[in-house]
Amino acid sequence: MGKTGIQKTPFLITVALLVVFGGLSYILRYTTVTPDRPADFEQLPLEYKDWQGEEHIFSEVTYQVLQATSTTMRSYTHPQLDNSQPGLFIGYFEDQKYGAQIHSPRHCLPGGGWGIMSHTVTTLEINGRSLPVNRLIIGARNVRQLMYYWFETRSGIITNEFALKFDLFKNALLMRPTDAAFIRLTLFLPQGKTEQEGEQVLQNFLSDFLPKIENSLPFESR
Amino acid sequence: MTNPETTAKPGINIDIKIIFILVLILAVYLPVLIDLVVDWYQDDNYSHGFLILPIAAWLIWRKRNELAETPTKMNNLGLLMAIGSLFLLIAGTAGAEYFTARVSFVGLLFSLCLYFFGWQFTRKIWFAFFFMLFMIPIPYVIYYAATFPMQLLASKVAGVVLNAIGLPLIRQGNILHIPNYTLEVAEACSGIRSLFSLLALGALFAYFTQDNKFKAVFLFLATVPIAIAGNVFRVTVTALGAHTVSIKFAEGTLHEISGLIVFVFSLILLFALGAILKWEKPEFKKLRS
Repeated sequence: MGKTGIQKTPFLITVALLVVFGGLSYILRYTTVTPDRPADFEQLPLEYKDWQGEEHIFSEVTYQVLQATSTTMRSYTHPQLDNSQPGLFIGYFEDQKYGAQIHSPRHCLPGGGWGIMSHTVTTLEINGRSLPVNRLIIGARNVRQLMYYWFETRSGIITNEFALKFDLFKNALLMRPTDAAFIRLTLFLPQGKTEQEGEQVLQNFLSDFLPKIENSLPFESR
Repeated sequence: MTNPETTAKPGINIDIKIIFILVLILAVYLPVLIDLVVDWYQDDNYSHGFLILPIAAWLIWRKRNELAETPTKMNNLGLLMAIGSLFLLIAGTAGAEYFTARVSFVGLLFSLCLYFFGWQFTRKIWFAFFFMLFMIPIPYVIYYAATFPMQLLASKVAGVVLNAIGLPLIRQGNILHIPNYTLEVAEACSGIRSLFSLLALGALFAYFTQDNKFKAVFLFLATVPIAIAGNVFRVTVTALGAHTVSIKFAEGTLHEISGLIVFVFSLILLFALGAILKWEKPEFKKLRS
């Protein structure tokens, strides 16, 4: 055997390792566990209680960038609300493994010209239930917007992008569906409207719509 | 006189088992590598990726005679690191995190080299493995986190420079208003593009020109401010071009060749710094020899 030769045992150990790990990585890469039912935004009403909703569509490019399996974007009006209307966006990703992954607003907003003025993680009390959310105030020129967003997966509600990644990793290894939803609520804060007033509007909206939102998603965790 | 390259035959005499393992590694990483090549092809930030592997292979090849004379000794730490790399592959695949799976490829090659041939052998070609890391695009989370501050920095410094030259100017974030023109420092102008290729080049340049480790690391790290300076230079030149020649010139000719401007500017700075670092007072040279 030449100087650059290798002995039999280390060779066999290496081959065994490569076959086992390589095989596992191929399985992980090429198996998709399809959720038992898809997200269904038909179940999310446009008209509910006193709310009147309107569906909006994005440009084709946006859908291509988003790569979500299905999305809905709405704005709702309420007779007791004047000039600011809650906006709701839900993006559902049936399988996060293949490049179609949730884009966190924290990474794409600055690119869209919005500055993030504050960001906190807070827990809302909605219908006697705790709902952890990301709370953002974003601004562009002289416009301010209040935003709540969170993620839902098979494991429940997640607010942190890295936790979402870890959850994807865990679900993939457990051979569970790796689907996830991104839920975002926005409200313009015109001159004179305080953040507290805005929060009240969004929380009222959520107490009516949260059960509907979650029903439209294929996760069982309630 | 005999040519040393022809007498040192053992270096070229590669064990078939090594070839087999290399082929197996390629098979395991095939989907990962295909994705990577697609990225090089599609992403202008990483078109230099195509050059990295051939250069890395050459970096090892040029040491073949030295390597043939180096005693090899198995190192079990390498085995441990190889298992760690393979876990990274699993983590990267399960989490759909390209960066992790790609780094694991380079990590595995390094680890197996250490496992089979030992440290004395591996340290002679460590740089080839390190250099391979430059073919891997950084995670997009970091990319986006770095882009905006770099855009802003480029606009700020260019604003200061232009003001110092005497150009009346108002800056709003990453937008520069000069009398007849408004210049937007877009994402693509953040300088992050040239940073990646310059880092690879800086590493290679430092490796070949500096004998002193600290100087080499210093030169390599200096690539970052140099790339940023190159970008400031581009923004400044574009604004000056728009003001003194014409808007058409700034948006057309100048914008097209501005990538080249940055690159040449940065290369000059890099070479100059490399030369300064190598320069010693003649008296010291005499004392050392």
